[in-house]
Amino acid sequence: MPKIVDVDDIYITEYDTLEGYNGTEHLFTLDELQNVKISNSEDASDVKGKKGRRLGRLKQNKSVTISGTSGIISGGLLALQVGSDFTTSDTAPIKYSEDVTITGNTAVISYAAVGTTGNEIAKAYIKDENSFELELLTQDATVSEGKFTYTPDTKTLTFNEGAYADGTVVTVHYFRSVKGAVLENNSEKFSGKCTLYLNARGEDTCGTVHLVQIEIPVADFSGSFDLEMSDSQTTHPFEATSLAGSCRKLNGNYWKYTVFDID
Amino acid sequence: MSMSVCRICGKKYKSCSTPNTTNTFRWRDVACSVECGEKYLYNIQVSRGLIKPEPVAEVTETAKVQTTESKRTKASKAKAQITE
Repeated sequence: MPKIVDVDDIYITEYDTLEGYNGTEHLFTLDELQNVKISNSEDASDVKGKKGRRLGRLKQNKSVTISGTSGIISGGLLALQVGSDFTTSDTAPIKYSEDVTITGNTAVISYAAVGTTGNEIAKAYIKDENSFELELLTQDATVSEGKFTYTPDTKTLTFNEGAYADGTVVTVHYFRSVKGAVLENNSEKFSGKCTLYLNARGEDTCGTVHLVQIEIPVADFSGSFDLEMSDSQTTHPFEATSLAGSCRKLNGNYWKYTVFDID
Repeated sequence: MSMSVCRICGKKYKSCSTPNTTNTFRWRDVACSVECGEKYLYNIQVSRGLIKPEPVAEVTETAKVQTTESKRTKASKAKAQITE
């Protein structure tokens, strides 16, 4: 005989994970949840009779939103919030800045610069020992006053003969190619929907540990969220609205709460 | 749009402010026109040893005179045909 779980009263002791799926496709798992809130609401208006006495209540506009904060940035959640997918690239361009030192009229940068041929570096900033900008140089085909060249094969910048002493610092800002995963927040794409499963642990009044899973069949994520970078930890907030939908399979449910034993 | 200085003729022009993150040549990043862009790309390719510089043809005074005369001759012949 299967044991029937007695769960009249239970208190949640721990949020384990929040998982997002698109059908059978796993989108993300938030396993460092700082907080989660399922807000439920409905509007009710009184049905009144003689002398304003209440005869009943008219209830409507029931809604559910789920919101929370992940302690770490989730790529899958981010992709859902901006409505795009990650792509992997061997040649993803990133902007890179570095200070290099001139020796013998030349300086070598760390990575191959990409960009319009003959304009890969574009500008070079000669600086003094206090990082104060002294001179702005432009990339060109030949060196001359105010001009420098770049040789891609050797990643070498060449400066006008004798213009700068050895040890002079030059700052350059350029694009270099990296291998990475890229997500774009396109203005024509919008946040998506998924099925959410919130897994938690709870205890009943006798101290017996139970597992709880709250399923939100259709969670429509908001594209409004802040990635705040400050002197504090950067967290990943999210908010979604549960949709009842008109699909019969959803049965008009905003969420389903299941309590079960570990065994 | 930002203002830049053409690296061939030195003229100020409106350049594109969006970054080019590929190694394709986009003339508006460096020059005021396609023609100046072509010259700049040529200069870059020569300086990097990707192509050999084209020999500059020496135009002699005799050749200049001959060219001018032949043009004049052709023009007068054509004029004569129209008159006839």
